[in-house]
Amino acid sequence: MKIYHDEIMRLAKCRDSSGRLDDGSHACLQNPLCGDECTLYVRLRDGLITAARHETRGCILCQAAVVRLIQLSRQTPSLAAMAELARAFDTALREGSALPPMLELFTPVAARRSRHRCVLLPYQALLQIAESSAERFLEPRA
Amino acid sequence: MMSATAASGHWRRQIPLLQRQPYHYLDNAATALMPAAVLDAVRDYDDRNRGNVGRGVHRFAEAADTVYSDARQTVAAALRAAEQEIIFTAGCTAGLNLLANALGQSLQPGDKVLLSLAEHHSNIVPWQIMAQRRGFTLHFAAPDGSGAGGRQLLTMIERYQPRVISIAHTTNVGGGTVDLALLAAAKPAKTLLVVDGAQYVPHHLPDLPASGADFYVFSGHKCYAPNGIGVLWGRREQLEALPPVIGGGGAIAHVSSDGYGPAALPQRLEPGTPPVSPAVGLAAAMRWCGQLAAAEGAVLGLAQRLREGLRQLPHTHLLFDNAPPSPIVSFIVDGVHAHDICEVLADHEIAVRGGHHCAEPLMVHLGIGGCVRVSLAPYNNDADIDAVLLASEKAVRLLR
Repeated sequence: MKIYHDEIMRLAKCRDSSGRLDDGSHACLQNPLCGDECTLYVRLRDGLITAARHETRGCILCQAAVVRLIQLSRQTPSLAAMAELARAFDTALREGSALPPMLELFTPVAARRSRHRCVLLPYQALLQIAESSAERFLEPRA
Repeated sequence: MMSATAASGHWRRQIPLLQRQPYHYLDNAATALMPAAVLDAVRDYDDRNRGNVGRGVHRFAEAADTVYSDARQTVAAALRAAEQEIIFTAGCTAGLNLLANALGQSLQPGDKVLLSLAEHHSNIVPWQIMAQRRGFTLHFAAPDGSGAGGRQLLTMIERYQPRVISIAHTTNVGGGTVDLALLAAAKPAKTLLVVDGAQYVPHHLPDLPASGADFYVFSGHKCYAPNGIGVLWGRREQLEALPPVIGGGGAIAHVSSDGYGPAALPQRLEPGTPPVSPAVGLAAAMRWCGQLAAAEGAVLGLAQRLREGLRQLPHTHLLFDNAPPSPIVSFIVDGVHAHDICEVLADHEIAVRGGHHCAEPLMVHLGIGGCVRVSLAPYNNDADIDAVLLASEKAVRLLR
């Protein structure tokens, strides 16, 4: 099962970023094809993601994707940078080009058009947060 | 009489796609495969008789007129209906939208339309759109143990005295079948009964005038015909009473800058260039379906084998477990998303569907996010069932 490789399965089982954040921004998106539902919560300050959690009822790919997103937001907390990554992920899947290096683990999914939305759902949620947030105008402080 | 194995081989040999690439195709409730007879009929029309209908006098136009008229005649005969009562549409969704729009125009605040929670979105959303526009209310009956909208409907008919009941003949997740005669007898005379036959017709050809329905719709692509064609049947007096919803060429007797006069049935409800080659395919499919009664026992036998096998799998639960036999079998696995199960099955060359099957209200009612649906046709066989059971077992082991 190429798309369900060990790293994807490990991420999908990871629960340490599950939960809500009662203060901050959130976006809830659904995949009408399969019923995946992902709510992403982020706390923002000065253009930085200071905390992120999720409540996801979804397939393994969706679970893995949101956990990976939250991991990356800890490494690169800039909201603008994460939004850029989300757009690059979407474009790469649509165009069939190489995925951003940090998302290469999803490369087997690229050939499976029907599963793109499963992995993109959390990133689209992040984009929705970014586009509705006043923080998007802020460059993170050095 | 053929054995079940021989019978499925007989059907299977008629499906070119399965001959070219052996595959376990069990997603027939989404779209069925086309027999050679249907493919040949469509190709023959497009190769030899292609023209527009009701518009020209050249030989291609006359040939197209003839094949289109013959197609309607064949479909009508298969359903024991009058030709003028057979309206070709783009599909079941198109037919239901036409009816919701046309019937909805005469509904107003205080009027009620009765549906079931087991309906496909195509038999919910058009009514929701019209209800918002016109102010009438929708009421939903819970599905009964077979997964069909049944017993609670009878209670609600008495309570609400609806103007319209719109219901699936066979539901697309539970596979339960409603007793239309019972519904027709229970409803007030002035209540219209609209029936979505998308999942019934692939397995049985209904006698529409005797069914109790006032209107009946189904799609071609689910009953072994091409995409882009469906049927809306209505009792003649009901069709005559439908107000116009969409208009265009072919549906009129005359047009001036001041107005228009409608054409007679059925053309009045078929504006625009009709789906001629899909209609030819549908007629060929209806002829092919005439043999299907012989396959019913074998198909239900396979479904029963599948249910028994799934019951043995750990953490696996059938939906509507006590339902009468049906070609549709749906199940869930604790803690595993339906899409993931389908992915494992797809990896083993098995086509099934996972998700909410355009039946989100039913999923909410059942308290689940989605399920896996296996849907059978006469060309399925024991090897298909063996494959599903083996791969499902693997999926449970891998994904739990």
